[in-house]
Amino acid sequence: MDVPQTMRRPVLPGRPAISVDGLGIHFSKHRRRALFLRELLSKGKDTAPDRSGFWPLRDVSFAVAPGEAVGVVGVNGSGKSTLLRLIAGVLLPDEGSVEVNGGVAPLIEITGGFASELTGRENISVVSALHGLNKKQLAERFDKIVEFADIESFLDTPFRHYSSGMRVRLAFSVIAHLDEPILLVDEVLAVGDKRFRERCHEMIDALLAAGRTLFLVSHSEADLRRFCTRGLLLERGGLAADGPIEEVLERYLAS
Amino acid sequence: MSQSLSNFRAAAPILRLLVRRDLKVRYADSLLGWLWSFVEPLSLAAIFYVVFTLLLDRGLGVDPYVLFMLPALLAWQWTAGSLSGAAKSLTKDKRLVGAVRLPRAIWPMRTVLVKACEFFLALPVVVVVAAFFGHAPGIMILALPLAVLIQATLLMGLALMLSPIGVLVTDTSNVLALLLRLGFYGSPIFWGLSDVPDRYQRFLIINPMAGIIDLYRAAWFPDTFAGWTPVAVAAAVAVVALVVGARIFSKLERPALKEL
Repeated sequence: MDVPQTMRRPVLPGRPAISVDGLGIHFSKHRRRALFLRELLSKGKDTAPDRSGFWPLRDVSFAVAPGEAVGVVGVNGSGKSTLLRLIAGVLLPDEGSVEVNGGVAPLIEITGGFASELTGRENISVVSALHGLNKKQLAERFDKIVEFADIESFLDTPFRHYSSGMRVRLAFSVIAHLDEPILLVDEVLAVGDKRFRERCHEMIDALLAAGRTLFLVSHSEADLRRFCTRGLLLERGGLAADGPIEEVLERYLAS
Repeated sequence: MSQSLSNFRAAAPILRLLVRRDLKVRYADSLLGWLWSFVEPLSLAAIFYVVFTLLLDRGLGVDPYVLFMLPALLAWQWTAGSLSGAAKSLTKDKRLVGAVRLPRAIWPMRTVLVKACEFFLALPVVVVVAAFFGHAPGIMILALPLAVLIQATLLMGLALMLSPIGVLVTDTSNVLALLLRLGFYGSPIFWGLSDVPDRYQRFLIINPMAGIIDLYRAAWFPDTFAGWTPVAVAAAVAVVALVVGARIFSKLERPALKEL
């Protein structure tokens, strides 16, 4: 079950944590795609001028320095989540490139790796290994994960019997205890009760203090102001503003 | 290509973990647990014995017919389970696929490997059946690893092909179910290659499962072995399937991810 070092992406010093260059991704508007023969014959990229399609993101370029805390704002459908998924590497761009220096801990679809038939304990070991933690590392932080999630008495209960709050708490706890230098957060802070939200905030503060890079998508101005120093404003799939979080928020709220 | 190979080596522990998780999930809540992997083929063997040996007067295969048929059927179940699973491998776990950054080819491979484990777990039943009939294996049992290797190569290739297509074309599962039913009767499971006249055999061996099954069966029935030509054809088809499958996968994974 040990993950070899090659699986972990090495951090190269002196390079940005995230560099996004001319990034674009094309989606077809129709549920049923006409043909995928085009991709089969070309290099797999969807570059044809498709009248029925649209670009959720296009011509987006920016770089994030290690240790920076960046907040992404924009109205619904402006491409925030797509951007996050491209950075997480679970979507592949049609144009441009995304480069991530070191591994990412994606707080997107966090309960995705959890099997409802397995117990909390089994799930912790499987999910942490899927995200690249080896047995020894897990053994060191198992207690911390359980304590943070506050599920001690349910460790040997099947995951399907967990309440939705417990599920999110456990999932957040596992991902937050990974070693990855870059933290991608998509709205997960909005779930959970007040007490858990506060603990999440403390955890993110601690991770930031430890020099992690944060990339946060949120509709909560309070969260954005609290954690981020820099803001990115997305409008209709393009980058409309990039600057100090206060200015970007001002511009977003004015529009 | 070399980069994707090193990626796979790095992903091997993850693959092992996922396969173990799947087997665990499968038996987690059942009372008999992993014993089910014996109970299923054993009950199947019992049914065949009653229907084909005691009740029907069949003109195909050789006795003991249960032993003639069982290895073929288990091999077929590995194929059928892998392919129908591969077509759904990305959709079924789309939240997991969308949450972890791993080489995407591990999702179809995982399906093939889980079904392979179930196949291996069921193999002792064949030995039990052979012991029951007092039937000893021949020297061809040494060729079993070759049969497993050819089948695994074939299934990996087809699974890589099917997994993105299963996302992009919703009808894949239905079409595949039809093709698998056709393949079930078109492969030498109930019958043997040597039961068929030579002029038809040459078309039947285009189906790679024909050579593979014939090789499995030769371990117990060396006299029914139709020679190495079907095996060679199967091996060639398997290699082509793997190369084509890997290409199709790398080209279609991008559009497939968008549809998840």
